[in-house]
Amino acid sequence: MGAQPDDLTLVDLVREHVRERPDHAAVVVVPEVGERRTLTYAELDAQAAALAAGLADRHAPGDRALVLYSATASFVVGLLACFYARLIPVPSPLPGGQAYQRERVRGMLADCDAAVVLVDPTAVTETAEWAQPLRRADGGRVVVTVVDGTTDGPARRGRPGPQDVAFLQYTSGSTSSPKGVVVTHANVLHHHDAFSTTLGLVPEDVFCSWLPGYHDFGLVGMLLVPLGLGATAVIVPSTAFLKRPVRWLSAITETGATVTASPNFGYDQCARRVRDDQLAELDLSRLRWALGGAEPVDPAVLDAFTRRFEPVGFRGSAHGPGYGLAEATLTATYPDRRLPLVITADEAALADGRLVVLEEASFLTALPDAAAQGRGSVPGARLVCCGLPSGVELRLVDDQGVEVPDGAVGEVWLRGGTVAAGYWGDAAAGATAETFGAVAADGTGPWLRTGDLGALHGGQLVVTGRIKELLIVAGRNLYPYDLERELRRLHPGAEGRPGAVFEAEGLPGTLCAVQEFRPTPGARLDGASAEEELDAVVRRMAAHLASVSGAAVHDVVLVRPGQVPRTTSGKIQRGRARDLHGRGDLAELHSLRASRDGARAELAGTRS
Amino acid sequence: MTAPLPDALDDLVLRHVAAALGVTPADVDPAGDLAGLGLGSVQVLALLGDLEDALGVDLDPEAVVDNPTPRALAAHLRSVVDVPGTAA
Repeated sequence: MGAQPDDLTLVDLVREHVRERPDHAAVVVVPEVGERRTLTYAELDAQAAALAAGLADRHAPGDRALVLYSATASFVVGLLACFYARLIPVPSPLPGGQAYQRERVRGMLADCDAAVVLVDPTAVTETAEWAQPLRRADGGRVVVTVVDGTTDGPARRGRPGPQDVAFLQYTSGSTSSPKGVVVTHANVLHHHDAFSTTLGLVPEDVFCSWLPGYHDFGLVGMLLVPLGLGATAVIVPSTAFLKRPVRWLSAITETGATVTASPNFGYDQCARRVRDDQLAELDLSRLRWALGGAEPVDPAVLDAFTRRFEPVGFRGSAHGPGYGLAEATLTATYPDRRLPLVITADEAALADGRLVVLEEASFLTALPDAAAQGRGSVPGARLVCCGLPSGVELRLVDDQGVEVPDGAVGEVWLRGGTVAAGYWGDAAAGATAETFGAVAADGTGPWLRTGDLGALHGGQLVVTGRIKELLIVAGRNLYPYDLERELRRLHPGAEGRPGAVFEAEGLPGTLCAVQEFRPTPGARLDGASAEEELDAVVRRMAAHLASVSGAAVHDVVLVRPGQVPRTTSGKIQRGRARDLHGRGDLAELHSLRASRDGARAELAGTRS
Repeated sequence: MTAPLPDALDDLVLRHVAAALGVTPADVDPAGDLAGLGLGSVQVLALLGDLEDALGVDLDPEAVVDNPTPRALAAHLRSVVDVPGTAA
């Protein structure tokens, strides 16, 4: 990219593209039904400038604007308008119909004390209704502004500075205490340079993604990076993809997309759900990068995707798993095609905190053989390499902050220009200090503590686990504490009692819950009514857990008070609960699996 | 093509629910709540897409909310595909 003056921001890059390639497509939307819609750089600029003029009249620089995501170009117009008006955009999902969704968006709005909500015309009625009772910290109303694409009237194209906050990213923190990552314009530009240079991206690239714009990968990787390059960003609605994964691939085909990205989950959906008769219409031969991240990458899924779509031009070498997090703007380590992609590690050594590599393979060399069968030729743990650090310094440390020796597993610490400024607001000062202010044993710092465990192999990061008990389902971060709190609310017999929510053993992305429960006093414990009560409770809890998390629920187990494992200080031991459940060693009062078995037996007529 | 037989729709729904859950159709309770059976919102959308493709009809996303059991969903599908001209 060459040297850039110190005060340059992404906005300057976009303005340059508006001048030099005004008619180039900036955003293309491939809706679930109807025609593709294109917004050129000139149109994007004109719409954003008109909106910015109105915003700057009503709001002060630095005010927060919740930008609701509708899978339309208006989201991108809203973002750029905030930059032009020097407001701080806060990407957000629509409040939605469910109570917990509304609560989450309301929590974000309150945490950042947003002055205004920007929304697409298609969602304005529900949003206005939702926002009507909301008040700002000073008691004032929250304004709802429609992003209607008009270009009449005055225009404003303010220029933010590098130290200005570019946006707040609310992917971290629980529902009860949301945490907005403060990403500055300097962070964005630093990340942009690292991302585009390391991956060799050019203005002719076409990016295509189903990731929503409030997700860090969707926002930074698949919208801001293409805009900074002067390239094209193709938006596929997430719901269209979830209903029919082939829609993502057909959008790639139709738009000639060269770069795409998805969590592991998306590639898995395509490998399993795209039908043979749908293959004929696909051509994935132009795809240079199929980036991965946001959740652990499963080598078997990469294999399965490659085998399924090689006949329609997909190249296994396009797979580009990386590692990153919103606290480091997005990506910290990037794929390198010259290096091995998948390794087989000694499992006993891994359990002991050491990475001993038995075999390595790249998809260029290994596909026709063992790797094509979804396994290595030697037994062991197959792990995906997540590439080399770029734009950031990476260090692996032990729990004393001492750098671990070569080949040992340690916590991933990061520092450098892409590491964000902290979490938003005074209430998060403690969390900011804890996460962003780590000091290493050698006195260096501040470092960003990621909570992820990894080891280095030939300079590449291999992620091996997590310290924090974060659940990642379909690329979304879920906090066990939030889900446990939801379950306790459902029945007086669970109220105030501990529970543990964790990922099911051997079923990634699938949840289990163990909840202490006291049956309603007075109900006959041996009678049918007690059994019915327990049955209703596990089903209600499973339904609510599935609804709140969006994840499939494998099991819900009710146990007697005192049976959920915890430390002497009362901290829930979710890993231990998971082990006990996996071995069938929990003393169950009742469980979802038992309830399903009962229903099955009843169906088969084996029970009176 | 004639509309699928009533029982065929029940089977179709059970088959797709079972596929989403990773179990066999016999393991799915036709009267069970779809979320209670363990289907998350992501799987429900997938189910909707698969049923639309299998039947060649457009379904309202609310169909699953309003008919939250396999049996109720099959009954709803019957009302949709029985309308002349909309059958697959």
